[in-house]
Amino acid sequence: MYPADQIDELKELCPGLCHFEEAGTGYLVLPAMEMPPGCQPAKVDMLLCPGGRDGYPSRLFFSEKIQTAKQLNWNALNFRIGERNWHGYSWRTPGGNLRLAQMVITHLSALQCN
Amino acid sequence: MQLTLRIPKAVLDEAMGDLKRPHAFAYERVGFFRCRPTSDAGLVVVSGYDTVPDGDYVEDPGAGACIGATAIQSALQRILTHNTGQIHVHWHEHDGPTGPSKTDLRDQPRLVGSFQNMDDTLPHGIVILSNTHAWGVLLLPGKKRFQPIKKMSVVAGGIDFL
Repeated sequence: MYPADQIDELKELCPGLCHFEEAGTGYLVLPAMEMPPGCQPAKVDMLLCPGGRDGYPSRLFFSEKIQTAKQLNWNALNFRIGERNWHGYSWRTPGGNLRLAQMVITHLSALQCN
Repeated sequence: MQLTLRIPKAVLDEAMGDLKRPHAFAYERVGFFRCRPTSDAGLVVVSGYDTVPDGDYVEDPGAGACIGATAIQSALQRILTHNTGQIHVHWHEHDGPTGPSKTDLRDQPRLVGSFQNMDDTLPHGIVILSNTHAWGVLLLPGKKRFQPIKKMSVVAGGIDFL
């Protein structure tokens, strides 16, 4: 499981936070998260995989593909996780000791143009 | 160490103008100063101000102003995107010295701790403004205890505070 203080911190960003495991990998669901300015849709569900998968130290998936001015490599389209389809772009966060909230914000920073 | 927060008058005026605006249901408004450390460990400079949009407040009869997850996410995002510390700021509507309420002391240090968790190489903190004075504390880079702001110097317009 994840440290309680990190879960509490993430709940400040997403009160509806929940957790599940699938095929031995842990996921955190962040419902109805606000996207950074300039993104469409403005609000989506997110799925954080903090323990790493697909060769990335962590991954953040979205319930919809995000439209933004930033060109990103959406190399995960319709990944079936937790009985839902998820989409994700290629983004490598610094490995090591990122906290859960740091992971989310770091992934989202890829969407910002400035 | 005597901690000084230096703030451009234009930024302070922008903040005061924003914080004094009424809100549909929140008793107070909240904003965030952007700040940076300097080579002088006792000096932190404010570089800008970000408002909290009307829709990012949450109705909470137990607090003068309660901001929601979106406002917190935006503040965290600014730390990463703009590489600036975040100072939670609000205004108490009176003259003379001011200070934190019990609610301020309960909620805001936790929020500032999250800012520090995002980037502990930047200063983050809390400032409360009155009409004539200010109160504030900062978590300086790498420090776990809040340091009181002894002096707030308002540049390009004289020194008005503390």
